[in-house]
Amino acid sequence: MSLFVTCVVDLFEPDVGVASVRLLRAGGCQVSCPTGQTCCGQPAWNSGFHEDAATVARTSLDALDADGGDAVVVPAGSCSTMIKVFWPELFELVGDHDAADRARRLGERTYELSSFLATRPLSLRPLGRRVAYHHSCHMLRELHVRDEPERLLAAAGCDQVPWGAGDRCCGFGGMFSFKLPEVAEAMADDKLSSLAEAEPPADLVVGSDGSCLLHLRARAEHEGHPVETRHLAEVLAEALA
Amino acid sequence: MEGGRAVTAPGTETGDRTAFLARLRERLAGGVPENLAHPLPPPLDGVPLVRSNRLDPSDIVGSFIRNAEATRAVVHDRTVADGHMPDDLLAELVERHVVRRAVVSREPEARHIGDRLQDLGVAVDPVSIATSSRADLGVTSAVAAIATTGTLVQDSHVVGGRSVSLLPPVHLCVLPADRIVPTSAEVLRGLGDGRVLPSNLVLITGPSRSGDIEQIMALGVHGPLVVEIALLRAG
Amino acid sequence: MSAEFTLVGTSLRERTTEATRDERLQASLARAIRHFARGREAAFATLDDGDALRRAARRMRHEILADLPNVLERFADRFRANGGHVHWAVDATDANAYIAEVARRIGARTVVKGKSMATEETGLNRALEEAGCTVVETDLGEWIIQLAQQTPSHIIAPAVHLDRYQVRDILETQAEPGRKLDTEPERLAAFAREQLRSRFLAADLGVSGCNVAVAETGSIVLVENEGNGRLCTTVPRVHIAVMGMERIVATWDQLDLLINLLARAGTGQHLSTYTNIITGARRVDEADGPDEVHVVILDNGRSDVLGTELHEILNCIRCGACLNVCPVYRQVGGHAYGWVYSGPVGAVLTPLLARREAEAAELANASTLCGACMDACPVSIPIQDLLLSLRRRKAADAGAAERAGWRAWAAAWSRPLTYRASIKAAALGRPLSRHAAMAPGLRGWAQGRTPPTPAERSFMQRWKAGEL
Repeated sequence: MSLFVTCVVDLFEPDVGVASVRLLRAGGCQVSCPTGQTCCGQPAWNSGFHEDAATVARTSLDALDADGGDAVVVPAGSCSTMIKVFWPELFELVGDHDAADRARRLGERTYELSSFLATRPLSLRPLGRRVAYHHSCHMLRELHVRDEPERLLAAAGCDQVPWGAGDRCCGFGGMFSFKLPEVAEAMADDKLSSLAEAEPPADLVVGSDGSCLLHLRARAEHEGHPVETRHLAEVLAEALA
Repeated sequence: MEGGRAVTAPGTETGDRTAFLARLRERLAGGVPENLAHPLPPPLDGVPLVRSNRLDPSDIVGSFIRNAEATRAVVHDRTVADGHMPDDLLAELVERHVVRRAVVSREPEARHIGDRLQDLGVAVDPVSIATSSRADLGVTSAVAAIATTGTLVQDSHVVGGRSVSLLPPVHLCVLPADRIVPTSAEVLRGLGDGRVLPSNLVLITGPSRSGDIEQIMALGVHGPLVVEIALLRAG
Repeated sequence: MSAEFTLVGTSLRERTTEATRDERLQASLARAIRHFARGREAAFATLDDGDALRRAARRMRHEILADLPNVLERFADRFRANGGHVHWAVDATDANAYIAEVARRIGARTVVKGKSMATEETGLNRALEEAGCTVVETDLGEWIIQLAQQTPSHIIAPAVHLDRYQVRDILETQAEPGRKLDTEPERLAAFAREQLRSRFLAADLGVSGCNVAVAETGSIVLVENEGNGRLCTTVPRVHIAVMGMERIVATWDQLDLLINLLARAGTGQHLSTYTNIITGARRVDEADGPDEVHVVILDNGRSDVLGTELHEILNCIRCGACLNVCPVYRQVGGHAYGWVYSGPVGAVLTPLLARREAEAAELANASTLCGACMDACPVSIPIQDLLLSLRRRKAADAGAAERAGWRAWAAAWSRPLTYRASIKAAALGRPLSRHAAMAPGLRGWAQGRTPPTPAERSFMQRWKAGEL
């Protein structure tokens, strides 16, 4: 299968990519990572610059298509969503019907990492960590992937702490947090203060979108109450027997 | 439900219907762009019914009582042989709410109560905005009631108006249990079937309330503060 | 008051930042949102399959809108057959003029109003006041706002931004000199009942909105909890309902589905306290009710939206659920949106209906596109897609610098070599905000967040080096 590593992981969190590869191999997959990939185009798409988004997305579409993997796995909810939900619309909008059709077909065999891993045989040892899981918006509301990460964490012997604001948007929203940073910070504060209410507290915040975790961590640190965040892939890789 | 006769000749029409609608037709002529990310659901086969677990289909009356009480209505569940609200219940209600003046609708159940109220020394005035606004109590029956939501259905043609269940601070509804239907569908879905609708059909679900101040429920702004339902089962 | 456009002169960022720093507002919003969320969730949990109903309602509204001209025609014909008067209002001025003319004809001095966002949109109150009428808002929240000379900050809970102390201060202005009011909400409400009752009884004209019209029978359905709607449409001799042209269904089956979803999504009730079905004026043998009923069917920019990418916003039934689940609304409240409609639906409607698309365009940025709105919407409108459409419209008018920035980004990031080169450069430690190869506009990160550092070696570098 083909790994679409995503620009956030590639640039900021390469260990997430490394962990993903280990997990996929442990699950019995032959992992290929087409080097022609770059980004899914979401930053421009969300800003309304769909033509620029299509230019970038097409590169990644072509690379993944050429790789010919039977599945494409993505360690990020928002990028999986971009590919599965929005690429067809994106390419239709710029009049590239061929790319739209290819995107539709690719989308059908594209999986966010945890939803893919949930179908593979993984032998995990108990980590015994207390974890608060952040359900990122696209994971929850576009991909409808809610149970899989929780089941995987349970399989890795992690206790999941109830988090009242667990389903709420963290405030990153891509360009949103650059356009309305004060609101983005207030939204992060909302989640972080809800997190602090858990008794006993979580020792780790886990999520499937690196950008959300980055945002929460950056805010918490700035406010003087740092929280440790880890991508689900890193936690599970640690639990590989 | 009967609507009574329409009042007068057809009403007037102003503005330019033709131009107004032509504009809409023009805008719709090219169809509507498809949403590829979140496509429209497929065409419906009829309009789906709303089913709620607040209804126990084996006990419609019990469901009504429970759901009406949840809306802060007071329900008096009585089994009566003669189809009338028991006198002692009425007397207790009159005393509790210090009722000196009342208005009653023209429904037979309400008129009966009107007679009994007079026996209890309550002044019962003919219905008008003025008398309803002075009354301590308004008495109606209901053409139907909805079990799922604890709702009373008032038909202005049957009631003879609207103010009886609106202006006084206490609304007493005498409800024969056999008028309770399971859901809103039984009340609403047939309304277009050729009958003439009354000028006002109102579904009343508990006393008037507002949460506009700190979301704290305050009753009686601006309709009745209290809704008492004398639920009469045939015994 | 509300047709006034407050957007001009301040930026979305300024208004929203101020709101996040307003502690009193934050406390009010926190309380309200918690309350509404619980209610909606509990109410939907009782349904067999609430999501299926919402999806069906989306389809249903689509089909009604597709046939809107015929549905409206049928409605108007039935409404007239019932003795009611119909006015087709092209815009706000037209609607207000009609209503003012009725008021003049009947010699109306006092007008009582039920809650109507459409009349906020058209600025009816001012038009009536200019025509010499006294206008009294009778919905408790609207009355409070009117007295305070503010605008509503929520589609169904206009005074949600105020606490009891603020309300007490506002209402005390209506009490006899020297009378002090309690801050208990029930006592304040009792005071409102007392004050407004006499206004109802003295009113010559009642104006209401219309939650949903039903074409089949020419009926108007008004949904409320207070009874002020009943009073406005019963006591005065003349009743005028103002109806956005899209607020209609063809049949009673459709109304039943919609009313059940509206109550649960909006207020967490299974049915609102009063569901009023108005069909014509009072009958000869009825003791009360208006002698004359009118409906004003309002376009005011809605027809411009028909058939466009934004079309689905016309399915909205103004329940307010999207406001209640929006994480942005939660932090900023309704006034930050700058106009009549706030929250997600307001961010879409304002550039379309307020006709100041250029100024209002930045409202499309008041969202993370999280999709909570679509999930809560009783008719499942994909509001986040509509906001994205508005962003595309806005981008088409973007300045040269912004366009060039994205084009440069696209050029660099559509080729693996230049993408990796920009990543390598970033990995050399240059701050995010200064690197042109990264997405434009990243300056805003650093104020309240610690800037992240790129990894020394990217994933791709390690993969290509054969390390994995």
